[in-house]
Amino acid sequence: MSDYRRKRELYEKQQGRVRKGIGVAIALHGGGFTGAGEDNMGTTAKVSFDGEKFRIYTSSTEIGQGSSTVLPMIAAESLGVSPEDVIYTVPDTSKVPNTGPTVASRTTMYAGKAVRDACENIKKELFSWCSNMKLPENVKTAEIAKLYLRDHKSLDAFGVNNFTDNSIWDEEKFEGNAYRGYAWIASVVEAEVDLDTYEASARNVYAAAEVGRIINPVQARGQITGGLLQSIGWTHTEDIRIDESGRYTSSHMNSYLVPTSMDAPEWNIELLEDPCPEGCFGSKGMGELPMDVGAPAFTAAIENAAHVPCSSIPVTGEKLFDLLEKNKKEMTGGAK
Amino acid sequence: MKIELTVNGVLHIADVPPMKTLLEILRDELGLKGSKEGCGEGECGACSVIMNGRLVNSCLVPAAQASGSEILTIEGLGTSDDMDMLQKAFVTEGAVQCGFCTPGMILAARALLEENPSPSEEDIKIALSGNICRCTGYEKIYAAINKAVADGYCSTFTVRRNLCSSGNAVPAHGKESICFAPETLSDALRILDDNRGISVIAGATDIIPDLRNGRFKYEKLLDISRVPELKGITLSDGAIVIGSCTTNGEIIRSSIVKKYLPALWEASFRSGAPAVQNRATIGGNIATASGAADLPSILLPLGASVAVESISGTREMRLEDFIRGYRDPDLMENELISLIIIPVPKKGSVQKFYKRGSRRALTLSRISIGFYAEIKNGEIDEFRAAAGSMSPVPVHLDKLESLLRGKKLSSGLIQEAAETAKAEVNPRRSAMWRKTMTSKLVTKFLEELIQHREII
Repeated sequence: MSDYRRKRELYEKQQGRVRKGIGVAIALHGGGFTGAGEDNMGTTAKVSFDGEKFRIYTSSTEIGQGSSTVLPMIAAESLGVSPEDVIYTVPDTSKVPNTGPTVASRTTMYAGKAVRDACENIKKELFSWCSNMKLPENVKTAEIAKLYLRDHKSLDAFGVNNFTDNSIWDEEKFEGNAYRGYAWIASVVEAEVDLDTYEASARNVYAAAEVGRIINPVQARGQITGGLLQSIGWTHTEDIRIDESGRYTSSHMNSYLVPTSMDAPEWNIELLEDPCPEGCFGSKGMGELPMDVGAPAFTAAIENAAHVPCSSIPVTGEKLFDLLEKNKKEMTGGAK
Repeated sequence: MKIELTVNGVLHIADVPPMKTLLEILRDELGLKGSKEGCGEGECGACSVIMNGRLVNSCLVPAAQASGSEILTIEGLGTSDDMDMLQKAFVTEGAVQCGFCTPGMILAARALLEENPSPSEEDIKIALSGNICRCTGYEKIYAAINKAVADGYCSTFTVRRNLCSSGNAVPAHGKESICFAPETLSDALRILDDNRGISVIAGATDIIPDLRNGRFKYEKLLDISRVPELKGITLSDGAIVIGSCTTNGEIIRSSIVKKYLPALWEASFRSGAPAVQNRATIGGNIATASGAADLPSILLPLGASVAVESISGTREMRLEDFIRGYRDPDLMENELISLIIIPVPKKGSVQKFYKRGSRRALTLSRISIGFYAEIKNGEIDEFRAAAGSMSPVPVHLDKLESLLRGKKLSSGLIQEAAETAKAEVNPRRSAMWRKTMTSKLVTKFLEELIQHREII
């Protein structure tokens, strides 16, 4: 996909001021809490029917990662209704059950499972009522739900994230199954390094990510590119320091520099699916996954171009300058 | 004070303090919460709106200057139930993740498309460079804009009417005016003379952040952004004359600047992102007399002079004399910078502006350096260079200039020049890095000059 091996050799031999470099990194990232964390979480969701639409109640907060889209998709699929018939409720702790925190690449994978379970419980209630009432089969879920509400005050059900895999984790010895599912990513960063001005920039970024069953391909791709760009920013422009009195020096957006559109590379992304039996519909957590590879791949690309070891980030202009100067001294020192 | 605003085709009247920001007015007075506050200092673009046809950061526009303008916000495009084509494209292409940047991002895209209905990928990147997105990696945003263009979005644009009766704010009932917005230069100078100590505002891109962090305080304000004599770029008598309230955006769009002053074009283009460029003025950039400003690094080598005016007349001086010291311009209490005058560069002269920041757009200079050279009979007839960001004020590199004047370019001389420049600059922070980079940029310019000499 990136022609990594050929380019790596080719770039190694470059001379001159503006050089290219290429680097690769691979990572795996477990979805959800570690060890028995998920077993003890009590992840619960509620689904109810308001007379028109199904409403999802979870503590999984929409923060741009897409839970307000993905959770309704999961519910719609489970209930056999269209996504427009499902409403994601903005979490309010007086109204929603505890679905656990919105962290750890766990929302789609495990909060989704609790939503799915709640939907199954709704269906169970509806179908048993249906057969009691001797209603005809193959009536649409939403229609049955409307009929049900004529006889009942409300229609709602809780659901939980149950595991059936007998996974074992020893908290004392830190042994056993740390995670039910790992997402994988391999990423190649092709960078340009200007040895005159000590600027390194990522130009082409390739990534192949295996993220289990993909619920929403558009959002999955967005998570990969967005996460990669963030980790690329960490690698060369996002510089947080602490002054003598312990205060952050980068407290403004004019000193903490996140990548702009001009800094973003060309993206080449491929998504692969190896469903995880314990994740909702085979999904795996992928929120944090892309953050793992940007920095090691980018620094490897800088090393390839500039022949200096980068063991810490961010590799700002000053840092690259220092590394090159140190390298020069060592080289001349060795020649003596 | 009472101001009029045309927002999304509706006339609004608001009674607000003169330095209340347009963003606060939109959100708090008019209840239009679509525009967001991210940084409050023009660094993120979440508050972007279109004001009088140009993208601005509404967090950097004071009420006094917004008064009388025509504004388009995200609420003016479409509603959740009835989105316009661009909004729809953002949704279908997945260009919205957390959504915080989205209203500003959409307005930035809209401003681009109103000016350029068939933008290239590069045009899009430049247009969005002041709008930070932390979620998407930008790719889907480009895709959304391209989709809207393909769907024929630009043909839906209609002319927006400004319904305001006047730009001038009316003081609140029973109060004496503390904010003046004259519409002629003579009025401005008279007000300035009558109200000693009055604070002058032009682009306000520095003043609003300073107001927020307590570094700027005012009793009275003089807004000079409505004075026509202080605006525009003209070519006359062998000089290019730029009004002090001309914005970086106007400099970038000027055919005169493109033709005669490509290095000034570059400096203006590299200074901030579009929404800041549309507000920040050339006069403001030199009035601060600070080494952090970008434009003096090239205005000095171009031989610019400054005209300052008061009711008693005009004084004209070289820019290097105007910048007496850090934040100490040669400007009396009753004077305004009126014009920046740049001699038309000689035929065959070469000019260049280099800036290095930490990222590609919207970045403060870590180093900015400008060059101007004339070559005659294979020799350097004139050589001027200035550097910013490395000293309290932008300065000429005198030693470098005198070394090169009258010399024939050779690789030996280039090496000597690089060493001279390295020794001459004296940056306080990251000294070796900046010194080395200066010497490399000197080398780069001189090597280009050799090639240029071979061509002419």
